[in-house]
Amino acid sequence: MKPEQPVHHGNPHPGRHHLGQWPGLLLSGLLMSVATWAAADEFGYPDAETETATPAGDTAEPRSGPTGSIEPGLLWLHGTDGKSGEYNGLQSDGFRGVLRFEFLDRADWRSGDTRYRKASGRDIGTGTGDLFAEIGEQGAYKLRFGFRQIEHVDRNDAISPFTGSAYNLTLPAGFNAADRSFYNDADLGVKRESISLYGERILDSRWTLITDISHETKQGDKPTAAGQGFRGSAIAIQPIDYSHTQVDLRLRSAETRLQWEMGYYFSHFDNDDQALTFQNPFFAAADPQQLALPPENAFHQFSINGGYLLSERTRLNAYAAWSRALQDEAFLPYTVDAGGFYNFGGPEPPLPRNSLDGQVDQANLHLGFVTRVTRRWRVEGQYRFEDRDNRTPNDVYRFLHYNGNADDNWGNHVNSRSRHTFELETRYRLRNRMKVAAGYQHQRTHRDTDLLEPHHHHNAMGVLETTSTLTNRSHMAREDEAWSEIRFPPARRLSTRIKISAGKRSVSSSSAYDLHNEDHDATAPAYLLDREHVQLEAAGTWQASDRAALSASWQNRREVYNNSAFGADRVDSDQLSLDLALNTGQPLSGNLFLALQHAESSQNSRNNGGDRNLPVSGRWSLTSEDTAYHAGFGIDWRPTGDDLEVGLDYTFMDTENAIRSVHQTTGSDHLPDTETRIHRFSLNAEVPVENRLTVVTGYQYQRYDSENWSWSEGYFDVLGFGWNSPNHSAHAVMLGVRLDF
Amino acid sequence: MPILLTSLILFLLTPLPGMASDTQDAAYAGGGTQTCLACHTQGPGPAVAGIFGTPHGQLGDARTPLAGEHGCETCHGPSAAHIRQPGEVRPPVRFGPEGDDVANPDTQNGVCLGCHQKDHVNWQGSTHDAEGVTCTSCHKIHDRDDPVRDHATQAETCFGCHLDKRTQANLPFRHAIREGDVACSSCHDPHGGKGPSMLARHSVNDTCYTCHAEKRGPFLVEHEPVQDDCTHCHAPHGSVNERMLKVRPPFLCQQCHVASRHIGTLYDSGRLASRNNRLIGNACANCHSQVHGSNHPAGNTFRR
Repeated sequence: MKPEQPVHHGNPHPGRHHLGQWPGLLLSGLLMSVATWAAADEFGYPDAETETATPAGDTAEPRSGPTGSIEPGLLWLHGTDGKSGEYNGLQSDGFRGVLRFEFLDRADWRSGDTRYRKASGRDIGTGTGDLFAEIGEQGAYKLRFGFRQIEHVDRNDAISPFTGSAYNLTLPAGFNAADRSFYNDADLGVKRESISLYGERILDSRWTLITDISHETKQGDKPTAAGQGFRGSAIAIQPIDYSHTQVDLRLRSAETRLQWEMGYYFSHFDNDDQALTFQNPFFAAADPQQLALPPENAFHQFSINGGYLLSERTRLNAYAAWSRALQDEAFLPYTVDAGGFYNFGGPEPPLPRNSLDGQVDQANLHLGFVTRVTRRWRVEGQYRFEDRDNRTPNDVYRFLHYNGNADDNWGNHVNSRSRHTFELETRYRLRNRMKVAAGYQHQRTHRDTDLLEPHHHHNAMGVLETTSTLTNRSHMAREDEAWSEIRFPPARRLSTRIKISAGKRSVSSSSAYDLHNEDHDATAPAYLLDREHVQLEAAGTWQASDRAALSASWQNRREVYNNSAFGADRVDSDQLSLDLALNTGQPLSGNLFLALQHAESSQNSRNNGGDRNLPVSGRWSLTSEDTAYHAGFGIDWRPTGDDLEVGLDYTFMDTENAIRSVHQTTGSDHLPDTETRIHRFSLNAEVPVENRLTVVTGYQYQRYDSENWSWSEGYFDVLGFGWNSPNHSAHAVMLGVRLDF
Repeated sequence: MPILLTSLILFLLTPLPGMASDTQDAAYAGGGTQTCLACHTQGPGPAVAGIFGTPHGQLGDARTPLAGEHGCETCHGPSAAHIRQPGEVRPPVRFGPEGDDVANPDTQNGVCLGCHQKDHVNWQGSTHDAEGVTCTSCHKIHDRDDPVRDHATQAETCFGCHLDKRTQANLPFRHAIREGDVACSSCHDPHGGKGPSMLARHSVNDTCYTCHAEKRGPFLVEHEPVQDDCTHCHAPHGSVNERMLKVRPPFLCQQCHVASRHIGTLYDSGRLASRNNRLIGNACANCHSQVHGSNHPAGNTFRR
């Protein structure tokens, strides 16, 4: 069965220190009581002071020669749907065979022979499996081949009226959007398959050469918009047939004080087709329209990364990279609807160029140092420079509206950005495990946009002419943040961490933000608004014993956008997590966790009657709240030592999205809450039946209840796509046999 | 200023008193690994034999700690005193997450970096380094199978400290972290990344493009926040909202787009009742589906 992350059993970090304070105190107290009970001697735990901190490990040396296991199994699924099989390939009911295996052939560790072969396969048969094979000689070379599948199901309950070939969608004759008989079932989702080859050659004690090459295909379908506005909108199925090749070459050098690595990274994306042509279900069904699919593009990067040990006290780090992204796919025509609705009302004007000749250069530089002023006092600093220089040409294109109303020209925006970041932080270790730290960060981000702005005017002959002016708009954002932190142990086994950070961003602009010549005077994207933020964090761990620990963390963040006349004006978020881990050794161990996350953002805007020329009317404000409750527990039970093993996990997730609004004239309103509840339960057992034979069995149950007004009525039309909010009770039973050899 | 700068450089170059190894005055027990195995396989000490199934345990590779003359003491430090009085004297370098009973993080990590610094040149100065995370906080050195090096089980280790990320990774809209198809290290470099938040690549977007290269462009029509930072709109660790959006559309879009016509309209319950095509379904993306960028010469409103 495709494994899912279990509730983790036992705290993997028994020495980490986290304990929530303010809002979690009550619950913390309750859980601490449980942990105290769990740590009591009568429960069978040794006293921590006499217990070694080192966990028990293998008592027998590993066998040499070929070893491994093979585990064929049979999987039965019932009650599945697209959401239950979203990422595991198990979206349809029935039986299927699955296989996993491991293989390692290595000589005895004392033999002096470091050659090895190994291979593994996991979840083969589920559609999301992987295979790896590796040969190597430790200290000399390594060669690894990999194959991976990742399946992502979007919907398996979609319907669509479109027929025709993949990139040319047509509607059936006499199409009637309200008639269900015109629709066909359609599954939406993608499957990635990648092959990779990793090679590592140790040339000598100093030099290592690393090669990492992968090629991935991504195939399937996704929903996209098949409407051009003002005449209704529809969803169409867009074929996905992508391929992505990545090459990563690195030459690594290591000396006593200096280590550095020089690299070249290449990425090439290709799309099987560049356009999706479709008929608009709402208008002029006979006339096709077209949208552009992601274009072929390439990316090259050269980098060098190194560190130098200046003294035992100080280390320097540096990273520099230069990159170039290219895209030059031939342009599609303005329209393929020459005689229909979306046309120029005459001959189609020529394009200003045949392809974009897009080019974006990036430069990155990081410099850093870490020094220990004393054994207790550490200081570190960093400088980061990022530059995105968009060198794509500016041109003027025609704005194709509808039915001959090519009423405007527009210039493509060429956005560039450069950012400087300075960071300085210091940490001091006091006595009794107490630590204090503080830091400061200053960041300056300069964003600018170049575009050709078209202007219409009459020449001396009275003929309307259009000329263009190269315009630059720029924004400078300055952001400062300071933070301080203290870590202290209030009691011998209790440690806490409290951190506070605050920051302020101010943005200056060369002109009022004006994206599409609309009424934008008082607004800007949220990341270009002045902002103040404060963040509080508290975390800790009460290590009741080496086998029981209670961890907690709490975080609150508030962001206020000071000069936001319209748009986002505030974001608040809270996170609280509690985790109780019991690792008793055998026969029983387990953990319990509770978590709450809440995020709230508010914004405001105005109606203005659907026409830019009408006066402003109807100020409104809106609040969006996302809340998630998450809880779970896990138990491992090994009643007979290393033989029988039983694992039980349960998790519960309850999420809610609430939209509340207040309109100047119509008053308060709220949309129905969007809710999702997920119960997951699994029971797994491994039962040895002979020396090397183990029966592996498991049961997983997932109940998924959701209510989302976007899809909740299963709209049978070209927009609703027939989708419903996912609801399922899915069962999976697995029975397999593992043979160890 | 030059005097100040010169003084600073000289200061940085000086060795730190007492910075040398904690173990410099101790004596080695001798006898290599066999001395230790006398107790640590069948005896009362913690069992450690699993290390012989790992790369660290191969004597044929001269780089490994066990191939040297000091065996286990290569990492754990000179332990003659521990051999003489195992119940009273502990090996000088004891590994584990930061605490009273183990060596300080710098000492522990210094042992590992003695060989692995070349693989992790950015460790010093990374957030994990500054926070006192030790190598053995995450890695199980003596076990043949190290869960944190396996995509399928890696997140379990990370969630041990990053409790909030466990919840986010289980939200209804998420990456395939639970299934192990996407691991924390698919995006982050826990040993010190080249970008913010210990990202493996030098920016958020370049990290995302390793899997979502179709969104890289450059496009004829760029959507400024998309090229600026994917996390302006998306919550990559998981979200309550479809497509891992931070706020559900159309309201997310209206946090920036507030201008005239339908953009500034309040989409309330009345418009839900009338099934307004800017609210239900994919909301704004019912028409503006090309929000990540369009290469269409008439695509300036992301509809083509």
